[in-house]
Amino acid sequence: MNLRVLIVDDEPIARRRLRLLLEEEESVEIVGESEDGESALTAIRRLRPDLVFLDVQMPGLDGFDVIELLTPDECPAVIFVTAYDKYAMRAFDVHAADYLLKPFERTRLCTALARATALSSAEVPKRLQAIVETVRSDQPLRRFLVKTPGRVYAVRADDVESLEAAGHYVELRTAAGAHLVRESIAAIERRLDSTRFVRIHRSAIVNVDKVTELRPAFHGEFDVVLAGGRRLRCSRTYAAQLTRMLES
Amino acid sequence: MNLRWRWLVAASCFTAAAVVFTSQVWVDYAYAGHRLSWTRAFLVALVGWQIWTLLAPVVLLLAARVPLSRRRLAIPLAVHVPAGIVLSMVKVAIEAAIVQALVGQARVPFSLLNLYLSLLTYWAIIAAVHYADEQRLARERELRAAHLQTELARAQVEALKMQIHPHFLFNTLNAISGLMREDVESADTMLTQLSELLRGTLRTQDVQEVPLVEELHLLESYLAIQQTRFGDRLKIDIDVAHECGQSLVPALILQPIVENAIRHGFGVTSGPGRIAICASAVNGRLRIDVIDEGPGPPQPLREGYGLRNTRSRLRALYDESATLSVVPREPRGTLARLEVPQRSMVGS
Repeated sequence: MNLRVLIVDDEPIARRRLRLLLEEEESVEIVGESEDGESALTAIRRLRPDLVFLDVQMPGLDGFDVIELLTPDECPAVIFVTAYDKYAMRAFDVHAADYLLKPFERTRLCTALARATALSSAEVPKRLQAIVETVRSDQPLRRFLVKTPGRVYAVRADDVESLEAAGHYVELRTAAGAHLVRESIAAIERRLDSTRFVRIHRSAIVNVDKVTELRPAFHGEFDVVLAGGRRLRCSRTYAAQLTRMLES
Repeated sequence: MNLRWRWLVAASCFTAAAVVFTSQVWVDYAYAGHRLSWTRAFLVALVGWQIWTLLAPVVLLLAARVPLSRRRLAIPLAVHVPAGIVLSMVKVAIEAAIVQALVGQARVPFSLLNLYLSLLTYWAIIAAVHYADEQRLARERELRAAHLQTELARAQVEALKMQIHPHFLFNTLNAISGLMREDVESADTMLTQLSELLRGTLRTQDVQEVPLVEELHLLESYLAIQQTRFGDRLKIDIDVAHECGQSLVPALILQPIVENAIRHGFGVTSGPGRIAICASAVNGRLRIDVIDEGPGPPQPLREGYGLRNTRSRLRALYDESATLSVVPREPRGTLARLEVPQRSMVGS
């Protein structure tokens, strides 16, 4: 039985190189190539490959975003490919995942192929999710993934002015508009860069860089004015923390 | 060094001189037939020298106002020669009065030697001030040169870091390894470009400023490699006005700016992107714009180490007359604008 393989890399030469090497393997059938995370997601869902060679660093959605967005039954076996990414490499080592460091030689590729085919497919999604979690917990959140029925896109943490709880969702507010993320505000807060994002209310977090003004209100509370003009109430519990961070 | 500190130094010197001159006073008086106790001899010497401590502020002030300078010696001489004579005479007069009160008679009859010694002291103070000033200026010059050298070294380290940035270096090596199988010529070219880039950075060792064409030549190797890696997805436009080619720019100044454009502008969005570098002369200044079509800089801008170092080098080289701004562009992207005074290589 042939192994159906998808190649994902943002550099054309890197894709061609992998294709040339894989074409010499008899058991491998290359079913497609993708040049970024979004098209990889579509291709995986449409082509249902057995194995994906997944570049870690890509513009837009990166390799880990792709895995995060796949449901367990959509998830193929994955061989990560990276030039260098210390967080990723650490996570791979922690979970004994097989990965290729660019540039790699043929024998190394064959070993990775053999190990990938030997893995039981039931275990794959769980292991991959564990890798993603390790990577995510190692570094502060730089981007948010926003999933809408039509598409998935990334919002840079730099651009976010405030995060406000809205039912089961959190609303990310940027200069361009609002984006809904299905996660609790407490869960997001744990992953945020704590030197830049600060809780100002039970249901609101602001980006310190976007705060333009504090206006004293009653009972030691503040109104926080953000770059986009939005005003949010800072309750007394969090006021000290906010002013301390603004001064630093 | 402030005046008060200099005055303290002078006072200590005069006290030391008094100690040394005590035996001279003792001998002087012995010759004149007076046996002084050593304590009294010391007091007499001390009085003589401490008058200089009282006069020193005037001398120090004069020395600060009218410093000796090699180029125009006439003015300082016109001030210090009469000032030296007048102050020396004042000193000798005061000394005579005090010593007379102290010992009961003038220690020795009025002596020209004493006047000469006083003149010598006046000029010793002036010379010491001149020497200290020269030392300080030399130190400042050295410090400034060392500072510039450090900044250049930092820029060089940054440029090297960019080239051996693991993501860049290993992806480039991977691309070369890929090209080897399909197009040996292209693989060869890319390998040469990588070498040029590494060598070029190492070569700019001690030169603070280079002509723009040279700086761009180095960048071209970097950009050509990126172009090969990303193919049609990356479009690069370089537009340099003819009269700007020989204008001087700080060596390696553009590297961090262009790297930012590629990494944060081009590298974060999928789909095609463009990087443009334009150089033009505007009102006697050299303006270099680096433009990308990425998501734009975060507001407010968080400057990385590379940009901060760039700014501090610009300040060291041009004071306030060079500027670097990084602003969002409409409808999207970033504009990094560098402006430096337009100068060409002397003699070229």
